[in-house]
Amino acid sequence: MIKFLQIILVILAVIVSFQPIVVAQVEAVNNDIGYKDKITIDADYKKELLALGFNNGEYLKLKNEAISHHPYVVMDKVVHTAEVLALRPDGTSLKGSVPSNVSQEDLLVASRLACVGAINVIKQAADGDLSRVRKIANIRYLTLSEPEYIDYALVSNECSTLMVRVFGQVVGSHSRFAIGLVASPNNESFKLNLIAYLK
Amino acid sequence: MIKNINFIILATILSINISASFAQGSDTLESRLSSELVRLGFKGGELPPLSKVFGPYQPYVVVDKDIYLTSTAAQRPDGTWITGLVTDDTNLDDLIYATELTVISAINRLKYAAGGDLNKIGKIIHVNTLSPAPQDYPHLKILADTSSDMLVRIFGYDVGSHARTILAVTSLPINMHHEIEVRAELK
Repeated sequence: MIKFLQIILVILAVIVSFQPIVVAQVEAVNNDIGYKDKITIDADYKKELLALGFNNGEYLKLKNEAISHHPYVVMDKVVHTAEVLALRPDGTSLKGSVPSNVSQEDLLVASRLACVGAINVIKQAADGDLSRVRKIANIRYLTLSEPEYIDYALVSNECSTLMVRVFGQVVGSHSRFAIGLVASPNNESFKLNLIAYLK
Repeated sequence: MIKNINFIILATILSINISASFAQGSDTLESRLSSELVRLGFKGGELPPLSKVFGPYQPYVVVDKDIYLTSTAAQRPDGTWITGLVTDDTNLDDLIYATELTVISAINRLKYAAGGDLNKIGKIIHVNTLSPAPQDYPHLKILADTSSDMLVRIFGYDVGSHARTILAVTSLPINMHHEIEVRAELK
């Protein structure tokens, strides 16, 4: 009888000691920001678009008027985008250099706007299926600025974290560089271009 | 007499061969890098530990054989960063030293990207020189040449020669003094 109790105690002890591991595994699954399927990527992209004020979570439908250059080029499954502007839902964009004409707060929003714009370009390149994106390789952030401004990292972080939120850590994390421009066409404050790989 | 001459010729050919092979043996990528590191003041000619990145991004990305480095800045052997804008008063020698340190940071990341062995780098494809210099700054080409020459010195012409871009920018993140951005390919 005592032996029987001992065995039960041992079994209980085993269950109790394993429980934290089981819980930890469940948490790992919940926090898994590794590979994501098409539905979650689309849902997370829509969430970002809604947060930025895009109607129904849909990005603007842009017309490509230029003949000599394209919004993107795909070569051997490598996507090179053109410079993506930080277009607001109404089609306007931030103009002027930081810090005298434009504030840091405006730039933080512009960074996210350019980022969803870039994801829209990648989506076109991937025939509408964002789960076909294998890796965001490199993002170049270009900010119209004056020499005393040095907070590029904070502005870039807005887009870098958005990329990881949408694509997950494995696909979305990337290398990058950020520079200040002296002048920019149409006086645009912020733009970016990137290289991504398709599956 | 003729035999003697033959012997002397043989001996000289042999000794030339041996010395050549010795020179080749000591002239490896690691030894070249190590001598550059010693010259720049790194103790023991060893690469410093990889510095942490300042945000939610990676120091390098490798997809298949393609390596994309995040732009690297000038980090002194003691781990501090060289900061500040480039002006017409900036000492050119100091700036060249900063450029060389920047190349070392890039090579450090390349080593990690290549799994710890720089010999696995097949080609340096492109080097983007970013300098927070004023308009009409005259020495940009010298800076770009410094990094280009150094990469060719260390990797050899076949691997180390590359395409390049030189940009004068208004300023750089965290007030960095000099940056380069490198794209490379694995063997």
